[in-house]
Amino acid sequence: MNLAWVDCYIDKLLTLFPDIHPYAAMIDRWAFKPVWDGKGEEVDLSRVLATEEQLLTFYGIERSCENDWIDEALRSGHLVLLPCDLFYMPHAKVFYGKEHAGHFIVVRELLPGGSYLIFDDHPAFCGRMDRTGLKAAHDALGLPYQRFLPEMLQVTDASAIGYVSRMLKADSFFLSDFARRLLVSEETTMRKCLILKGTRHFNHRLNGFIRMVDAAPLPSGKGEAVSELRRSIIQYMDDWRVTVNLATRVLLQPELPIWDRVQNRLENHLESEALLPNAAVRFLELLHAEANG
Amino acid sequence: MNRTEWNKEHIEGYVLSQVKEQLQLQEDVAPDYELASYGMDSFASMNLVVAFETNFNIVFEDEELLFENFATVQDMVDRIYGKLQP
Repeated sequence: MNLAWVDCYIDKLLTLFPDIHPYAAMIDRWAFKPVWDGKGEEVDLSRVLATEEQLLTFYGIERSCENDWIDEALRSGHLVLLPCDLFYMPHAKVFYGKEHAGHFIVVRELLPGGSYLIFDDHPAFCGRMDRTGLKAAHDALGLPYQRFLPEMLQVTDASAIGYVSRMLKADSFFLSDFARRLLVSEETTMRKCLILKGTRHFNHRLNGFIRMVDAAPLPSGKGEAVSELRRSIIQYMDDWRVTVNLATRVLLQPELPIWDRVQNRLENHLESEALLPNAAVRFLELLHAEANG
Repeated sequence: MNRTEWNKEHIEGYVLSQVKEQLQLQEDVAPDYELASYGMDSFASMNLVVAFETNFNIVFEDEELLFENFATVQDMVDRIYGKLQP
Protein backbone atom coordinates (compact mmCIF):
# COMPACT_ATOMS: atom_id res chain seq x y z
CA MET A 1 0.00 0.00 0.00
CA ASN A 2 1.35 3.41 -0.96
CA LEU A 3 0.38 5.69 1.88
CA ALA A 4 1.67 8.66 3.82
CA TRP A 5 3.62 8.19 7.04
CA VAL A 6 2.85 10.51 9.89
CA ASP A 7 5.66 9.46 12.11
CA CYS A 8 9.33 9.48 12.65
CA TYR A 9 10.01 6.46 14.73
CA ILE A 10 13.08 7.89 16.37
CA ASP A 11 10.44 9.50 18.61
CA LYS A 12 9.34 6.05 19.68
CA LEU A 13 12.93 4.99 20.15
CA LEU A 14 13.24 7.81 22.65
CA THR A 15 10.26 6.36 24.47
CA LEU A 16 11.89 2.97 24.65
CA PHE A 17 15.33 4.32 25.52
CA PRO A 18 14.79 7.62 27.35
CA ASP A 19 18.49 7.94 28.10
CA ILE A 20 19.30 8.54 24.45
CA HIS A 21 20.50 12.07 24.32
CA PRO A 22 18.11 14.45 22.54
CA TYR A 23 20.88 15.72 20.26
CA ALA A 24 21.41 12.37 18.66
CA ALA A 25 17.82 11.24 18.74
CA MET A 26 16.59 14.28 16.86
CA ILE A 27 19.25 14.63 14.23
CA ASP A 28 17.66 12.27 11.73
CA ARG A 29 14.98 14.89 11.12
CA TRP A 30 17.40 16.71 8.90
CA ALA A 31 17.33 13.80 6.51
CA PHE A 32 13.61 14.00 5.77
CA LYS A 33 13.08 14.27 2.01
CA PRO A 34 9.71 14.60 0.24
CA VAL A 35 9.64 12.95 -3.21
CA TRP A 36 7.03 12.36 -5.85
CA ASP A 37 6.61 10.55 -9.13
CA GLY A 38 3.83 9.61 -11.54
CA LYS A 39 2.25 7.27 -9.01
CA GLY A 40 2.17 9.25 -5.79
CA GLU A 41 3.89 11.32 -3.13
CA GLU A 42 5.94 9.97 -0.28
CA VAL A 43 8.80 10.67 2.01
CA ASP A 44 12.15 9.22 1.02
CA LEU A 45 13.34 7.65 4.26
CA SER A 46 16.63 6.25 2.94
CA ARG A 47 18.80 8.84 4.67
CA VAL A 48 16.69 8.65 7.81
CA LEU A 49 17.20 4.90 7.92
CA ALA A 50 20.94 5.20 7.27
CA THR A 51 21.22 7.73 10.09
CA GLU A 52 19.19 5.52 12.36
CA GLU A 53 21.50 2.56 11.75
CA GLN A 54 24.45 4.69 12.80
CA LEU A 55 22.53 5.83 15.85
CA LEU A 56 21.72 2.29 16.94
CA THR A 57 25.31 1.17 16.44
CA PHE A 58 26.63 4.19 18.29
CA TYR A 59 24.44 3.51 21.32
CA GLY A 60 24.81 -0.25 21.23
CA ILE A 61 21.11 -0.89 20.75
CA GLU A 62 20.24 -4.33 19.40
CA ARG A 63 17.25 -4.54 17.12
CA SER A 64 15.71 -7.26 15.00
CA CYS A 65 12.83 -7.08 12.53
CA GLU A 66 10.25 -9.85 12.93
CA ASN A 67 7.33 -11.00 10.84
CA ASP A 68 5.48 -13.18 13.33
CA TRP A 69 3.02 -11.76 15.85
CA ILE A 70 4.31 -9.94 18.94
CA ASP A 71 3.16 -12.10 21.87
CA GLU A 72 6.36 -14.12 22.23
CA ALA A 73 8.54 -11.00 22.05
CA LEU A 74 6.52 -9.30 24.81
CA ARG A 75 6.58 -12.42 27.00
CA SER A 76 10.38 -12.50 26.60
CA GLY A 77 10.64 -8.98 27.97
CA HIS A 78 11.54 -7.37 24.65
CA LEU A 79 10.34 -3.95 23.59
CA VAL A 80 8.18 -3.75 20.48
CA LEU A 81 7.76 -0.99 17.91
CA LEU A 82 4.71 -1.91 15.84
CA PRO A 83 3.96 -0.32 12.46
CA CYS A 84 0.22 0.33 12.22
CA ASP A 85 -2.28 1.93 9.87
CA LEU A 86 -3.95 4.75 11.83
CA PHE A 87 -7.17 4.07 9.92
CA TYR A 88 -7.72 1.22 12.41
CA MET A 89 -6.52 2.99 15.58
CA PRO A 90 -9.40 4.49 17.64
CA HIS A 91 -7.14 6.86 19.58
CA ALA A 92 -6.10 8.60 16.33
CA LYS A 93 -9.34 10.51 15.91
CA VAL A 94 -8.28 12.42 12.80
CA PHE A 95 -7.46 9.22 10.90
CA TYR A 96 -9.64 6.54 12.48
CA GLY A 97 -12.03 5.21 9.85
CA LYS A 98 -11.19 8.11 7.51
CA GLU A 99 -7.61 8.23 6.27
CA HIS A 100 -4.86 5.64 5.89
CA ALA A 101 -1.48 6.59 7.34
CA GLY A 102 1.53 4.61 8.50
CA HIS A 103 2.58 5.10 12.10
CA PHE A 104 4.67 3.41 14.77
CA ILE A 105 3.34 2.72 18.24
CA VAL A 106 5.06 1.20 21.25
CA VAL A 107 3.48 -1.98 22.59
CA ARG A 108 4.34 -2.10 26.25
CA GLU A 109 2.67 -5.19 27.61
CA LEU A 110 0.55 -8.20 26.85
CA LEU A 111 -2.37 -7.89 29.29
CA PRO A 112 -4.35 -10.70 30.91
CA GLY A 113 -7.18 -11.63 28.56
CA GLY A 114 -5.08 -11.10 25.44
CA SER A 115 -5.30 -7.34 24.94
CA TYR A 116 -2.31 -4.98 24.80
CA LEU A 117 -1.05 -1.91 26.59
CA ILE A 118 0.03 0.50 23.87
CA PHE A 119 1.69 3.90 23.92
CA ASP A 120 1.67 6.65 21.33
CA ASP A 121 3.24 10.07 21.72
CA HIS A 122 1.30 11.83 18.96
CA PRO A 123 -1.66 11.55 19.07
CA ALA A 124 -0.98 11.07 22.76
CA PHE A 125 -2.41 7.84 24.13
CA CYS A 126 -1.53 5.25 26.69
CA GLY A 127 -4.08 2.52 27.17
CA ARG A 128 -5.54 -0.80 26.19
CA MET A 129 -6.21 -2.04 22.68
CA ASP A 130 -7.79 -5.36 21.85
CA ARG A 131 -5.98 -7.98 19.83
CA THR A 132 -8.32 -7.96 16.83
CA GLY A 133 -8.03 -4.20 16.32
CA LEU A 134 -4.28 -4.05 16.84
CA LYS A 135 -3.64 -6.96 14.52
CA ALA A 136 -5.86 -5.45 11.80
CA ALA A 137 -3.96 -2.15 12.07
CA HIS A 138 -0.64 -3.97 11.80
CA ASP A 139 -1.65 -6.42 9.04
CA ALA A 140 -2.92 -3.55 6.86
CA LEU A 141 0.67 -2.41 6.32
CA GLY A 142 2.31 -5.79 5.83
CA LEU A 143 5.54 -4.61 7.45
CA PRO A 144 7.67 -6.36 10.08
CA TYR A 145 7.70 -5.06 13.64
CA GLN A 146 10.89 -4.11 15.43
CA ARG A 147 11.99 -5.91 18.55
CA PHE A 148 14.55 -4.40 20.92
CA LEU A 149 16.65 -5.74 23.73
CA PRO A 150 15.93 -3.55 26.74
CA GLU A 151 19.53 -2.57 27.45
CA MET A 152 21.78 0.14 26.16
CA LEU A 153 25.12 1.80 26.78
CA GLN A 154 25.50 4.87 28.93
CA VAL A 155 25.37 8.08 26.90
CA THR A 156 27.35 11.10 28.00
CA ASP A 157 27.10 14.73 26.88
CA ALA A 158 30.51 14.41 25.27
CA SER A 159 29.59 11.33 23.23
CA ALA A 160 26.30 12.88 22.16
CA ILE A 161 27.97 16.11 21.06
CA GLY A 162 30.52 14.10 19.12
CA TYR A 163 27.77 12.21 17.37
CA VAL A 164 25.68 15.24 16.50
CA SER A 165 28.72 17.10 15.22
CA ARG A 166 29.44 14.36 12.72
CA MET A 167 25.82 14.09 11.65
CA LEU A 168 25.35 17.84 11.22
CA LYS A 169 28.45 18.03 9.09
CA ALA A 170 27.32 15.09 6.98
CA ASP A 171 23.83 16.44 6.42
CA SER A 172 22.82 19.20 4.08
CA PHE A 173 19.65 21.11 4.06
CA PHE A 174 17.32 20.24 1.22
CA LEU A 175 14.10 22.19 1.66
CA SER A 176 15.10 25.00 -0.70
CA ASP A 177 15.90 22.43 -3.33
CA PHE A 178 12.50 20.88 -2.73
CA ALA A 179 10.81 24.27 -3.24
CA ARG A 180 12.81 24.84 -6.42
CA ARG A 181 11.93 21.45 -7.89
CA LEU A 182 8.28 21.89 -7.03
CA LEU A 183 8.11 25.33 -8.65
CA VAL A 184 9.62 24.19 -11.93
CA SER A 185 7.85 20.84 -12.16
CA GLU A 186 5.09 20.38 -14.70
CA GLU A 187 2.62 18.89 -12.23
CA THR A 188 -0.83 20.42 -11.96
CA THR A 189 -1.44 23.01 -9.26
CA MET A 190 -3.58 20.58 -7.28
CA ARG A 191 -0.87 17.91 -7.41
CA LYS A 192 1.74 20.42 -6.26
CA CYS A 193 -0.50 21.33 -3.35
CA LEU A 194 -0.93 17.66 -2.47
CA ILE A 195 2.84 17.23 -2.49
CA LEU A 196 3.24 20.28 -0.28
CA LYS A 197 0.57 19.03 2.10
CA GLY A 198 2.66 15.88 2.45
CA THR A 199 5.36 17.95 4.15
CA ARG A 200 3.05 19.18 6.91
CA HIS A 201 4.83 17.17 9.57
CA PHE A 202 8.13 18.79 8.77
CA ASN A 203 7.69 21.11 11.73
CA HIS A 204 8.06 18.11 14.07
CA ARG A 205 11.53 17.68 12.69
CA LEU A 206 12.50 21.30 13.17
CA ASN A 207 11.00 21.18 16.63
CA GLY A 208 13.59 18.50 17.31
CA PHE A 209 16.30 21.00 16.53
CA ILE A 210 14.70 23.47 18.95
CA ARG A 211 14.85 20.76 21.61
CA MET A 212 18.51 20.23 20.84
CA VAL A 213 19.18 23.93 21.28
CA ASP A 214 17.24 24.05 24.54
CA ALA A 215 19.00 21.01 25.97
CA ALA A 216 22.51 22.00 24.97
CA PRO A 217 25.08 22.55 27.74
CA LEU A 218 26.26 25.79 26.16
CA PRO A 219 28.85 28.12 27.66
CA SER A 220 27.63 30.87 29.95
CA GLY A 221 27.29 34.27 28.34
CA LYS A 222 26.04 32.77 25.07
CA GLY A 223 22.37 33.31 25.85
CA GLU A 224 21.88 35.99 23.23
CA ALA A 225 23.43 33.91 20.46
CA VAL A 226 21.25 30.95 21.39
CA SER A 227 18.10 33.09 21.45
CA GLU A 228 18.94 34.40 18.01
CA LEU A 229 19.45 30.88 16.71
CA ARG A 230 16.17 29.79 18.24
CA ARG A 231 14.33 32.70 16.62
CA SER A 232 15.84 31.83 13.22
CA ILE A 233 14.61 28.26 13.42
CA ILE A 234 11.13 29.20 14.63
CA GLN A 235 10.75 31.83 11.94
CA TYR A 236 11.80 29.38 9.24
CA MET A 237 9.54 26.70 10.63
CA ASP A 238 6.52 29.02 10.82
CA ASP A 239 7.09 30.34 7.29
CA TRP A 240 7.07 26.83 5.92
CA ARG A 241 4.01 25.80 7.91
CA VAL A 242 2.05 28.78 6.61
CA THR A 243 3.02 27.79 3.05
CA VAL A 244 1.83 24.24 3.65
CA ASN A 245 -1.40 25.44 5.23
CA LEU A 246 -2.04 27.74 2.29
CA ALA A 247 -1.53 24.80 -0.05
CA THR A 248 -4.06 22.89 2.05
CA ARG A 249 -6.49 25.75 1.52
CA VAL A 250 -6.05 25.43 -2.24
CA LEU A 251 -7.12 21.80 -1.91
CA LEU A 252 -10.10 22.78 0.22
CA GLN A 253 -11.12 25.78 -1.89
CA PRO A 254 -9.83 25.22 -5.44
CA GLU A 255 -12.03 28.03 -6.75
CA LEU A 256 -10.08 30.69 -4.81
CA PRO A 257 -6.92 32.24 -6.38
CA ILE A 258 -4.58 31.18 -3.57
CA TRP A 259 -1.91 29.33 -5.59
CA ASP A 260 -0.14 32.59 -6.51
CA ARG A 261 0.38 33.26 -2.81
CA VAL A 262 1.77 29.76 -2.33
CA GLN A 263 4.11 30.27 -5.27
CA ASN A 264 5.38 33.58 -3.88
CA ARG A 265 6.06 31.95 -0.55
CA LEU A 266 8.02 29.13 -2.22
CA GLU A 267 10.13 31.72 -4.02
CA ASN A 268 10.82 33.42 -0.69
CA HIS A 269 11.98 30.09 0.69
CA LEU A 270 14.59 29.93 -2.07
CA GLU A 271 15.96 33.27 -0.89
CA SER A 272 16.27 32.08 2.70
CA GLU A 273 18.25 29.01 1.65
CA ALA A 274 21.24 29.71 3.88
CA LEU A 275 19.27 30.57 7.00
CA LEU A 276 19.08 27.17 8.65
CA PRO A 277 22.44 25.78 7.53
CA ASN A 278 24.02 28.92 8.94
CA ALA A 279 22.08 28.48 12.15
CA ALA A 280 23.29 24.88 12.35
CA VAL A 281 26.90 25.93 11.80
CA ARG A 282 26.59 28.55 14.53
CA PHE A 283 25.10 25.95 16.87
CA LEU A 284 27.98 23.59 16.17
CA GLU A 285 30.51 26.33 16.91
CA LEU A 286 28.86 26.86 20.29
CA LEU A 287 28.90 23.14 21.03
CA HIS A 288 32.56 22.87 20.08
CA ALA A 289 33.40 25.88 22.22
CA GLU A 290 31.83 24.09 25.18
CA ALA A 291 33.40 20.71 24.39
CA ASN A 292 36.87 22.25 24.03
CA GLY A 293 36.50 24.68 26.90
CA MET B 1 -26.89 37.81 11.79
CA ASN B 2 -25.02 41.09 11.31
CA ARG B 3 -21.29 40.83 12.05
CA THR B 4 -21.53 43.37 14.87
CA GLU B 5 -24.24 41.30 16.54
CA TRP B 6 -22.05 38.29 17.23
CA ASN B 7 -21.10 38.14 20.88
CA LYS B 8 -18.58 35.76 22.38
CA GLU B 9 -21.27 33.36 23.55
CA HIS B 10 -22.70 33.01 20.03
CA ILE B 11 -19.23 32.61 18.56
CA GLU B 12 -18.29 29.98 21.12
CA GLY B 13 -21.45 28.00 20.36
CA TYR B 14 -20.64 27.94 16.66
CA VAL B 15 -16.94 27.20 17.17
CA LEU B 16 -17.72 24.35 19.54
CA SER B 17 -20.19 22.78 17.12
CA GLN B 18 -17.65 22.95 14.29
CA VAL B 19 -14.84 21.53 16.43
CA LYS B 20 -17.03 18.63 17.56
CA GLU B 21 -18.03 17.91 13.97
CA GLN B 22 -14.47 18.11 12.70
CA LEU B 23 -13.09 15.86 15.43
CA GLN B 24 -16.18 13.64 15.62
CA LEU B 25 -16.60 14.28 19.34
CA GLN B 26 -19.75 13.52 21.29
CA GLU B 27 -18.78 15.35 24.47
CA ASP B 28 -18.32 19.09 25.02
CA VAL B 29 -14.82 20.51 25.16
CA ALA B 30 -13.56 22.96 27.80
CA PRO B 31 -12.68 26.30 26.15
CA ASP B 32 -9.07 26.21 27.28
CA TYR B 33 -8.44 22.52 26.56
CA GLU B 34 -5.70 21.77 24.02
CA LEU B 35 -7.46 20.28 21.03
CA ALA B 36 -4.34 18.46 19.89
CA SER B 37 -5.11 15.84 22.53
CA TYR B 38 -8.39 15.18 20.70
CA GLY B 39 -6.54 14.65 17.44
CA MET B 40 -6.68 18.19 16.06
CA ASP B 41 -3.89 18.84 13.58
CA SER B 42 -3.01 21.51 11.04
CA PHE B 43 -5.18 19.95 8.34
CA ALA B 44 -8.24 19.86 10.58
CA SER B 45 -7.58 23.42 11.69
CA MET B 46 -7.54 24.56 8.04
CA ASN B 47 -10.97 23.04 7.60
CA LEU B 48 -12.11 25.09 10.58
CA VAL B 49 -10.51 28.26 9.24
CA VAL B 50 -12.48 27.89 6.01
CA ALA B 51 -15.71 27.30 7.95
CA PHE B 52 -15.11 30.35 10.19
CA GLU B 53 -14.30 32.64 7.27
CA THR B 54 -17.42 31.56 5.44
CA ASN B 55 -19.75 31.76 8.41
CA PHE B 56 -18.50 35.03 9.89
CA ASN B 57 -17.52 36.69 6.61
CA ILE B 58 -13.98 37.38 7.82
CA VAL B 59 -10.52 36.74 6.36
CA PHE B 60 -7.50 35.39 8.22
CA GLU B 61 -4.12 36.70 7.08
CA ASP B 62 -1.59 34.17 5.79
CA GLU B 63 0.65 34.67 8.80
CA GLU B 64 -2.24 33.74 11.10
CA LEU B 65 -2.58 30.28 9.57
CA LEU B 66 -0.63 28.49 12.26
CA PHE B 67 -2.04 25.64 14.28
CA GLU B 68 -1.23 27.20 17.66
CA ASN B 69 -3.42 30.19 16.81
CA PHE B 70 -6.33 27.74 16.81
CA ALA B 71 -5.08 25.39 19.51
CA THR B 72 -8.10 25.76 21.84
CA VAL B 73 -11.74 26.76 21.46
CA GLN B 74 -10.92 29.93 23.40
CA ASP B 75 -8.10 30.81 20.98
CA MET B 76 -10.51 30.46 18.08
CA VAL B 77 -13.25 32.51 19.75
CA ASP B 78 -10.85 35.32 20.66
CA ARG B 79 -9.38 35.44 17.17
CA ILE B 80 -12.78 35.50 15.47
CA TYR B 81 -14.13 38.06 17.94
CA GLY B 82 -11.13 40.28 17.26
CA LYS B 83 -11.84 40.14 13.52
CA LEU B 84 -15.45 41.13 14.02
CA GLN B 85 -14.66 44.31 15.92
CA PRO B 86 -15.01 47.52 13.88
